[in-house]
Amino acid sequence: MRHFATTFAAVLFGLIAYAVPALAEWQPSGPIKMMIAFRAGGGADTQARLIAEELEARKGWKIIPENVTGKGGANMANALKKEPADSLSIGMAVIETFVYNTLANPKIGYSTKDFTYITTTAPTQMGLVARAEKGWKSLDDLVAAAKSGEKISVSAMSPRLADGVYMISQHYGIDLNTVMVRGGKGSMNAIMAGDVDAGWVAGIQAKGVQSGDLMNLASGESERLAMSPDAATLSELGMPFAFGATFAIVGPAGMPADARNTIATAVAEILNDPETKAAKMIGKAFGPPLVLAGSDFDNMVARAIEQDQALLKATE
Amino acid sequence: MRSVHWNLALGLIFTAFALLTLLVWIPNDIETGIVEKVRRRVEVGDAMFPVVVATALLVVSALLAVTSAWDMRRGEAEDNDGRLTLANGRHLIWLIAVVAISLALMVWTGPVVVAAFNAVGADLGSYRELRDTAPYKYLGFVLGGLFLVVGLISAIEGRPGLKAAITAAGTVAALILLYDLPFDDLLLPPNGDQ
Repeated sequence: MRHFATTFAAVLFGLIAYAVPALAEWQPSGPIKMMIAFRAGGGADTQARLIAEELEARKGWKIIPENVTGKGGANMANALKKEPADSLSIGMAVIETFVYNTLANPKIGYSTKDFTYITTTAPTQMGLVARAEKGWKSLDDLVAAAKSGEKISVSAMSPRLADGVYMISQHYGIDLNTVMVRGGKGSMNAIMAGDVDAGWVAGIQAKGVQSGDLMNLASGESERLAMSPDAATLSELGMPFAFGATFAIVGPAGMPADARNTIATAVAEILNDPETKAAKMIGKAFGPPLVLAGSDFDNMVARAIEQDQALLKATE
Repeated sequence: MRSVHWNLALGLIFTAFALLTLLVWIPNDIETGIVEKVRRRVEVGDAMFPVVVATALLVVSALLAVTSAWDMRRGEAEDNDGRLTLANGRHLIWLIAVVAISLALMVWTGPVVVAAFNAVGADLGSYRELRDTAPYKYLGFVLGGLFLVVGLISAIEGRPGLKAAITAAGTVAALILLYDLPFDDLLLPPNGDQ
């Protein structure tokens, strides 16, 4: 009888232990609107839709992606800020949208504090890229061409990257004409078509670099690019800033912690599974996924604020 | 009142409205200018498009006012067009009412029905949670859509009729078949804004 009681208690305890986390896991009470800050077909849009598809398959949630484009993500951020913090509206953008853009333009309509930072998804492989036929092997070659009188144009797809171009021109005392383009694809197209001499590209240059058609003249990340280990970082060249972006999923400020954690964990499971389409796409375009959530993500945003304040001061 | 007087009045009213928009409304409501300079770059500001539209309205209204005044002065005004009558006013009010009521029905039917069910004991949650769940997601679109099409046809024909109702039902059904059923990721109006 005592044996039975012990067994019964153990089984009961096990059932409770199993049931409690299952009951505790947050579930959306309706469809989740996923607002994507960039145009359809781009890197952010593609990964957001693949993550949404996998969330639906794994969790049974209903995700409705919607592109809310324009102004470097500001249109999406302004729309997301106005949504209720009931976890039924989230957004995909880059950290720059919530940090640099608000610091650089106080009239943008939102601030860093207007959002709940759920999880990052992917870093970039930001490089300053030129066609191989230009004959440039490094940033020094571009600088030498500019100093010899050649007019150099450089494409940038965000205000922060435009600051990067300005910083390079200031550092070397050269004139660079910044050409604003729409997205990394736009930058890549401008370089390939010869519309610009060089430009920032966030990772989709890998194929061209591998085939020898394109050159990474410098790494815009804090480390050298895996695809071009010979290309120096800007820090190594005496410019102590990195211009890589980080894709992220955010919600309106005040989202419940359990919802934030559950969504972040679910996205992490997808991106840490190398067999998912989302992980494959990110791996191919941007390198290994970067999944930071909770306080790690909050700390990253705090660091980004400090770095971008310093960048804005340095490029005034 | 002769048509030239109506044209002059319309021209003056919309000239005043355009000036008010340009000088008071836009500067007070839109923080960024026509163009804005952010970090060495000049960008199109949020006020650009409204300013272009208000300017176009100002030009057209001013032209109407000036040409009407000129015609009045020369005594060349025709008296055979553009006159506002009571029937015109009724028709205009009818059209505005139809559109306004249709939009209200579209926006509020779903939330009101869900709230009513909840009030009598159902535990449906909020309409926002049901915005992609049949039949709730169709309530506003169907009722608002039916009212809009029937209302407009009736306004044009001067009387409500069975044909208008059938046309409205067919139109609403066709839109649902075209936009809602084949696409998992699309929400019918107004559910995207709920």
